[in-house]
Amino acid sequence: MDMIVTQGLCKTFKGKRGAGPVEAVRDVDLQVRAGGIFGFLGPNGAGKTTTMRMLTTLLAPTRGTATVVGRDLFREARALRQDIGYVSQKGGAYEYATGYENLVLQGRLYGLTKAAACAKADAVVARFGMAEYCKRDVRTLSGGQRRHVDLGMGVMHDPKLLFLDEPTTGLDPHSRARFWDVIRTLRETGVTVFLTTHYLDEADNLCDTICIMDHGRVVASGPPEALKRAVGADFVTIGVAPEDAERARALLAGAPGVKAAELAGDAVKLSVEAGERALPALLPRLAEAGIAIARVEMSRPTLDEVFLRTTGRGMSEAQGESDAEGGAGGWG
Amino acid sequence: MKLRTGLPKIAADTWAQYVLYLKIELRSPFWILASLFQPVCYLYLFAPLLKNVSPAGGGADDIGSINSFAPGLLVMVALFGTLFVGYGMIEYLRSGVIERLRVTTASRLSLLLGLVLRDVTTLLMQTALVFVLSLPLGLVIRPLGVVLVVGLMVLVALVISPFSYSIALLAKNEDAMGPILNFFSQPLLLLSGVLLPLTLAPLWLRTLSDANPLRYVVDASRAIFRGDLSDPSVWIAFASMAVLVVIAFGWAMRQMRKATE
Ligand SMILES: Nc1ncnc2c1ncn2[C@@H]1O[C@H](COP(=O)(O)OP(=O)(O)O)[C@@H](O)[C@H]1O
Ligand SMILES: [Mg+2]
Repeated sequence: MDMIVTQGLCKTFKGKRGAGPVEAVRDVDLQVRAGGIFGFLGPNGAGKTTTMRMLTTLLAPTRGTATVVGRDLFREARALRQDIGYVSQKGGAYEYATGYENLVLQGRLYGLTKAAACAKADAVVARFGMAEYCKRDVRTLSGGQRRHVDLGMGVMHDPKLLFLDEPTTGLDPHSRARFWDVIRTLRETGVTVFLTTHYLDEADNLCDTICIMDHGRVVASGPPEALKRAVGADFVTIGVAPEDAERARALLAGAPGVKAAELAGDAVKLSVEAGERALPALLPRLAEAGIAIARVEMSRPTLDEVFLRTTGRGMSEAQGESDAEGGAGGWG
Repeated sequence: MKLRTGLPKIAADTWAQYVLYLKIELRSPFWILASLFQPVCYLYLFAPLLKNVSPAGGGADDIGSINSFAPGLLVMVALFGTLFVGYGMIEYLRSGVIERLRVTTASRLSLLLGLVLRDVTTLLMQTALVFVLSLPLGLVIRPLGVVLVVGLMVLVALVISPFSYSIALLAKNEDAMGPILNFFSQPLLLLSGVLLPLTLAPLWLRTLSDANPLRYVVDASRAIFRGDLSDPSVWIAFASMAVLVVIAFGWAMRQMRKATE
């Protein structure tokens, strides 16, 4: 079953105070299958949050249609809410209530009785390892602890589809890794996770399928491995003695599978198709010509290369742009 | 699991939120004490000043008497005790609470009602304090009068609290909200005859105050304390407040939806 299907989804915000209208989301067609972790990757201001806010019934699209968990986003918004969970970037827990109280109220708003909500909150606390701090006011918690509370609130009603907006933004590397593990356990229990991120490594390591978004449009989608493979080249660096470098380059440039070869100091940098197959044939060529090999490195293309190919600029560059626009993308 | 709908759902959701809001409020007693401080000041520091401004012959507007001042003070407490609840709403809006609540299946009305009922509860505490503090000053109360006056104050709170939330949701920040609230509340208060009797006012000011619903509430409150339930201000006050409750709720519901768009 498809968890999300959208067609031509658009959102245009009216410009405020004389500014022109903002086309935050333009013609987005999505198909998200049940199961797995689906990632929306893009720089700040790409339109990720806006798309998510439409899919969670908060925001009415300007145009387009969407079906979420098999229900029409507009006509069946109420019934739909029971099947989805949403954890916004801000979280939205009551700061002056404890994590536990937040969990229980959340459960009750989804129709659980007080006893059922408490039982469920106990289960969530145990599962996410929150026992130590769940009885403390949320405002006193660390960033990572708070994110666990937010996530816990999002799953109190066992949603089929869980939306997470920038779940690990602002967390230190250790907390991020822990949070990834928690999200993976959700996948194991059959929840479909839809998350947004502007971290390349998060999209790469955590997501089964990703959708790259830029300026309100989807520019590429598929499993991270397939997207990277579609870039069509691996990068091989072979270090040799400086006097051999040019000879090595000329020798390798014509080899099968090699798309480009250039000098980089005392090394030759190659762009090759399917590196794991090309490499075993390349090294003997050098050996036959009597060139000693000092080192060999191979790297796969990263999602940054995918982003570069589809948008013409690197992800960090795009991130910088939106910051320069006065943080227009902001944390919204 | 069978899911509630309709009224039982609204009631259950409202109750769940109300209880947590009240718990949170009671945890910071400082704010409760601070909010109770205002009526104390007015009763003991301001009321004595009025002894000599009573219009000649006393009568209905004899504000120098506690039986005329306390009913007016109640209205003022109802107004200012609930007027600034919007500050909490701005915090909730900013920290994503409202957005989170709106994605749950909670009834939309309950999202407002839970907060408003907490505000009404706070007001009831303040009202009780005014009664208790006024008794030693010579306030005369009758059971039916107390019930009617408290009911009227609850209606006032049911108007002002959603109004404050609407302004908060529109302004979206504290700096803009304060001046807007003062812009509305100061003339309403001054033209209600709470602090100084309108019989002292020139004709044009009195005519202006005829358009102020709060004035009828003050008049009604005083009439009820006098035991004069047939005074027209009584039914005018109840009727106009009832209409305003509906308008204020409708407006606040709309602003809550729009603020998360
Ligand atoms: N409520 C709003 N009103 C006006 N413009 C908005 C609003 N929300 C988002 N935008 C604009 O829409 C664009 C996309 O924003 P957003 O969806 O938050 O991006 P992302 O989540 O990918 O960083 C940005 O240019 C942002 O400034
Ligand atoms: Mg965002």
